[in-house]
Amino acid sequence: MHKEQQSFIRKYIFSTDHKVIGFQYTIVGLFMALVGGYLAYVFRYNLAFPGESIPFFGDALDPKTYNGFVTYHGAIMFFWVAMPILLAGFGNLLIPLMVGTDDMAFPTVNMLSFWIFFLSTVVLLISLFLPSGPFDGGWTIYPPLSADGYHVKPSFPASIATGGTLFLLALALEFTSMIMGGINFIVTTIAKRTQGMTLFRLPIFVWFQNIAALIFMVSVGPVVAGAVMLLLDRTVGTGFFDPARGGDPILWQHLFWFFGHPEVYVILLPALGIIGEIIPTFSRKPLFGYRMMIYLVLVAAFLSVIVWAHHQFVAGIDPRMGTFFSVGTILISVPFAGVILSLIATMFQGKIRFTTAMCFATGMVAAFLVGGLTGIFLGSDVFDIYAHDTYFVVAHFHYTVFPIAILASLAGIYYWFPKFTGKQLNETLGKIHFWLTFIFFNLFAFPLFFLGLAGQHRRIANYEVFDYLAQEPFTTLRVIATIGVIGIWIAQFVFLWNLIKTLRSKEVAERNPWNATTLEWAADSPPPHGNWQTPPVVYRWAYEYSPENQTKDFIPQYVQE
Amino acid sequence: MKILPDRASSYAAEVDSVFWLILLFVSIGFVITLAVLLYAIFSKRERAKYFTGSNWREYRWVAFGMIGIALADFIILGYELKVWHKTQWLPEETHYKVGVLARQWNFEYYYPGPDGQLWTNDDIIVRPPQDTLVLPLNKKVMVELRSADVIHALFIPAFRFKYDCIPGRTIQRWFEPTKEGIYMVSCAELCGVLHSRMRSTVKVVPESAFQAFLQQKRMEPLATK
Ligand SMILES: [Cu+2]
Ligand SMILES: [Cu+2]
Repeated sequence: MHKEQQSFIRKYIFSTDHKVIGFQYTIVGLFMALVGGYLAYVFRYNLAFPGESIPFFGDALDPKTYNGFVTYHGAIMFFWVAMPILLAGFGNLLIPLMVGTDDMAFPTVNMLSFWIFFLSTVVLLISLFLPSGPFDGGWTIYPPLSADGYHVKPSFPASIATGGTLFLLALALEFTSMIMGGINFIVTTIAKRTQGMTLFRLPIFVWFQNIAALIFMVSVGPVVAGAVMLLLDRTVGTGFFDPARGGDPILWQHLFWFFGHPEVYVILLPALGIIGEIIPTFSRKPLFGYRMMIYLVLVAAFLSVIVWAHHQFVAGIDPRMGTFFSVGTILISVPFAGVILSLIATMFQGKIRFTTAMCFATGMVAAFLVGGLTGIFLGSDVFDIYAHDTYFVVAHFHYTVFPIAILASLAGIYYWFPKFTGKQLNETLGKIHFWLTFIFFNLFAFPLFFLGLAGQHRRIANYEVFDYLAQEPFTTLRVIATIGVIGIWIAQFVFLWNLIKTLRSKEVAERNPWNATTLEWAADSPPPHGNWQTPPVVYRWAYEYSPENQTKDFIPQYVQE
Repeated sequence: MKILPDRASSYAAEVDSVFWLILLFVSIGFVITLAVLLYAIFSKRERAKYFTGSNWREYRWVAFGMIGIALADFIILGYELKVWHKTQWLPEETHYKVGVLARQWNFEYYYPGPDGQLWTNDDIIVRPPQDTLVLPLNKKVMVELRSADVIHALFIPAFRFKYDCIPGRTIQRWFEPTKEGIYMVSCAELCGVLHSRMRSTVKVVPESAFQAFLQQKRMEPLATK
């Protein structure tokens, strides 16, 4: 089939090739990162310099627009950046190659999943530009606020063309698309492995992608149902979450967080998978504790679906429930400590080479460490009562989500760029990109811990009316955080320059420039539709680096010795 | 610069102690892990040493790390769950009751009228333009939180107190103010357009002054209703 001549549209637009689909997801994800990042710049500027006009935007934000922007920033970074790049993008690009097959198990479903995702993106962007304004009820969409407070009787069908309805619709579409992708990952991994590729020879990336897909599919059902209920509340006037009609707004919080907490692991695991490939390659060392890492992540995955109500300590839940969710949440630190320490042990006594990809990978581990450890504060129900909905939470989740969605994604992009484009990104520009991004990220996120501890609560356009928060040093801390965000932006222009420069150069990358062991490096760069002339055969596990009594410092999975 | 704001309730110090205890363990964990990471980076050699961590002798160091963090977890949980019990369960005896009714975008405060019950017609009500929750010093106060529209949250940083006000439910919690003064109150749950401006104050006064305040409110004509 791949030998036939294909029209441009079949080849690049409605393609069933997993690599094209992976690219499509990644490109949409990167574009949405610009949108989400732009919103962040606008409202951060507004926070640092309240009331002043905003360069590259216009007037200072009114509270309604401010609420809209923070809502979209959160939703976009989670569902339209981290998910499409880490799960769908890298997963599509790499899983078939890493298991040694020609394509996903269901290529047409795969294509459909991308186009549903694309539709969700369009719907979301439309909802941002409606004359009635964007949805401004927070990315957690708590009713009754997200159901317009049940003040007005919804008029059907006019209520469809409102920010909130389209926002929910976009989310439901996005979830649908990711479910279809997840099915493909799991079936491909189970059924399409090449000869010799046993389960425990799979690269850790493939394992983690599959566990992520599994967590996603286990947890997403309730929130899709919830989204439909909320859509009905908004459009035809049902009252699922309206206490005046026997509904319950807390029901939404359970449905949402039963999904929302595991969702963090859905994006964390692909990120750790990327890091888990990069660190062995540039340490010339086998991945430390490979099997244990899989078991630990399975334990963490299980725990992740039973701790959701730690987001509801302040919602007046039964205190005994608080006890249960606190214990579960804090104990998640144990398996993840094992994973992080194993990644560090992989570097121990290695022949480490700090390429840009390795810098981003190490930076991800260091930054994520802060995010993981500060999670213990919030897992404690006692302290969470104070810290909930303050900037302490904002700082904590930026120290988890930024390393995941930005640092790990960039690590992966630098690492696999030669494989999928045939060209290698410039290392000097890459290092500048890394250091600027890493330093400015910390400059942005660290001050937020102090603001949160001072009692600065979230989603406030202007702190001038809160006397305590309107004084020094808090005003200065807000300015520093904003400088951090602007710095992160500047760093990405270095990346853009690097991309343009590299893609325009004529230099061709080697097939296996990093001397890595996994199967994708056996394919052409870029791999053709169908990937292989003859399917590779696997002879060993994925991390045979620096074996003893050998002169070579790596033996790829596909080499018979 | 103070890390945490002034404390003005009986359990604020204990809540803070949970923070400092966790900070202690987390800092130790962070410093050790970062040191190990740096040590790993500087242990690099000409040819990497081959080990896979698939036997106990190699894996034990990671296992010790996990045991260490598990121990820290249990110490933290053991302590913080005690404080949780103390702060969450209503004390046997509370001296006063106060109701909070949140609406877009202000808080209204209710004190029981002559019948001693909250949420009845004879309640003493503080509502805009007045916006101060007056409370008696060193008395346990039971708080009932309600909302008239969407979800809000009553956040009194100085009391280390924050609970949602949810339509259709009443949440009961308590606090005991321990320091005279005026403290900031904010709404900590996104509640619509003017969430950004939703604020209020708490004023803690001696019990006699509190009684006088109630007396005076009772005398006010019904016009304020
Ligand atoms: Cu969570
Ligand atoms: Cu509010």
